[in-house]
Amino acid sequence: MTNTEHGQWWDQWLRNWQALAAPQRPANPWAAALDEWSRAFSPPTPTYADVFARMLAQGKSFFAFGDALGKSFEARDPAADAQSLFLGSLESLQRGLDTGAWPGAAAPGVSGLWQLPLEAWQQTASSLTRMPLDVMHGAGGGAPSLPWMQQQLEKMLTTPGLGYTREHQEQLQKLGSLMVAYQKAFNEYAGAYTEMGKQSVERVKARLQQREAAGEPPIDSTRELFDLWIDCSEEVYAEFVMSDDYVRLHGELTNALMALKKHERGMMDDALQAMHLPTRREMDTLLRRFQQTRRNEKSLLSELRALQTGHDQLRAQVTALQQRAAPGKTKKPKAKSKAKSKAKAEARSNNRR
Amino acid sequence: MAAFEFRPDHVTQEMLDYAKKLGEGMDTLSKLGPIETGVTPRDAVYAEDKLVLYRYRHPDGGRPLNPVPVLIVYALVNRPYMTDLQENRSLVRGLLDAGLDVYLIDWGYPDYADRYLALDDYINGYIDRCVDTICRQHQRERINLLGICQGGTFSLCYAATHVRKVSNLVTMVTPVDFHTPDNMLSRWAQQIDVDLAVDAMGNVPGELLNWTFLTLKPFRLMTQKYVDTVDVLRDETAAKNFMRMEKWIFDSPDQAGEAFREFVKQFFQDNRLVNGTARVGDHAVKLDNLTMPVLNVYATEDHLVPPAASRALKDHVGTRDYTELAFRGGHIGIYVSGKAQKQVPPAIGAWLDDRT
Repeated sequence: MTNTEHGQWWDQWLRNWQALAAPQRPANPWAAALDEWSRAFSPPTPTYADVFARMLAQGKSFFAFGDALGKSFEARDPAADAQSLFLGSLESLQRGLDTGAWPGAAAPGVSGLWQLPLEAWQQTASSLTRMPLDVMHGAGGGAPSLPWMQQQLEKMLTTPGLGYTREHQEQLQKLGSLMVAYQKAFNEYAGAYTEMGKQSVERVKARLQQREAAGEPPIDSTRELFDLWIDCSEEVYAEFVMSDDYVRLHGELTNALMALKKHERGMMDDALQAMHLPTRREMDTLLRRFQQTRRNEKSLLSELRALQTGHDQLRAQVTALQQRAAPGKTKKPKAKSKAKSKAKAEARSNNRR
Repeated sequence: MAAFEFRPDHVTQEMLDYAKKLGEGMDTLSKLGPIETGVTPRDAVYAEDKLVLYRYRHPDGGRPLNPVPVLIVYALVNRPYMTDLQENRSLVRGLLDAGLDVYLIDWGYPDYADRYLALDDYINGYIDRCVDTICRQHQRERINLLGICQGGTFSLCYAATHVRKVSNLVTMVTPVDFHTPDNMLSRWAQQIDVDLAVDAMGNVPGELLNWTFLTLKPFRLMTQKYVDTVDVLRDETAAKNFMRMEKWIFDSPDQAGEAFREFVKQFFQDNRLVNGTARVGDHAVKLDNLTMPVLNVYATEDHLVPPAASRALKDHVGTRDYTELAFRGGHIGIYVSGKAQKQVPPAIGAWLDDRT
């Protein structure tokens, strides 16, 4: 990035933020401004792209938190105090969570926090498979219920295959079943996060009450409140993820993804085989044999070295013994052997000619 | 007294201040240029497949005071330049300053050709050949071994099965008892079908491990860290430190499938190191074979390897010369914090000197 470009984006940055202090503001203004700016800005090098993305995403998270707090002031009874307004928004968040949905609009900074690990999982899981992992994600509103959809899909997927392409049909049915199984595991896993979100709301409320009861100095910055929210969320999370329930959910989610991935690989191999291309199965067989051969080779080399060392030691001992037994005669065999070698070398050389 | 008192104009000002700092921080970051890690001069003395064995040069060009070389065995799951992140945050530099002759194994980045590398290949193969190389170079029969994290577990296995090649063993933030009640990673691993996972993926992607490590403390590591960093990013040195750490955290090599399968099953799931049933290739791993002096360094705030998981070593080693060093900090702080630089390498140096 050149100095001029630097100057330009920095100016734009400052203009964006100054505009937010104006009386006419958009909805979620801080987060929106960051979005707008990040669209106009490209990181200097790809190395920084990820870090910039993370900084901006979490900056947005914090701004969303501030926006939520700001809205409490704007929309409610001006006579009400900040604490009751904030507690009010926590209660509304909790009501939303009771319905099983993340009420992002009610408190985006707050609910967004609990979606982060799930989003990170989705991103990681998507990088492992070419299959869409959200076959039933987002079903809601006028759409049929999720269990109903699952039931219908499962019925369809267990219908026996027919005719010439029966095996291919069965493969596809299995793929569909594995995708549904993954989605079920993910929904259950995400459900646990909703539950943890609810508990973290309770924890924040309790912590605020404790502070109040203890007569501790009041929280007077968004940052401090944000940190309290993080602390409570982390506590609730740490307790839950050590439970048997979580261990089961985590195992089921991972295993469901891996089963899907394994089946997908098998299908890919079949397609490659049909095109007379090397498959992963074949590659695995070769690599396994190759690694075993390398192990054997290393082991033989190591044994050879040990034998060589042993041989050298024995030879040295023999020489020492010979010297001790007959000091004057020890050089003779060497001279003999040298003469023998010379004769052999000459014979070889003659043969070559 | 109310739990909090907010004024709308204060909230607005706070957001403005934060935005300003964020902007300044991004500005600083965008001018930093390439981020260098691994700062101490070194020479490659042995290479095999993707592994490179390095020997570090002494800063003043002098010779090490302690004649017994130390081999650092780092974990497979992250890159070993964490031990030499920058000049003033370098375990390697500290060990050199303590008069040690330091070698380090860089495992490289395994790819699919390495899919069938097993623990046997890593421990009885690569590590053993590195030890032999160093022994030959120094005309010694044994050297000192310093294992870090998973590399510490490898070092325990190696030292227990190649007793005659290890003079002294130092373990740092090393898991030994994988089933202590506070071991989050181990709990999560219990119901993973690791055979299915390795069969499905071949090698285990570094990205998956990253997700796992981040979700140990998701809100601090995915959110709060970035929000907090904004406060210091204006400063170029702080920004560089931050970027170095970011680079390291997300620089996660893929894991060779077979070695991963064995490691998870034997250690995380079956806890075989402490129940005495671990095997690496043809070798049975018995910790009571560890008859050489052992220094066990652990971090009291370690969220990855809980202190109890490391300290369990005490009850299983065969040596009477067992020492523990508790560092008040976390799993990462033990390499990079200012306090660690002052405490850990000099203590290791002194402990080794006493036994040389």
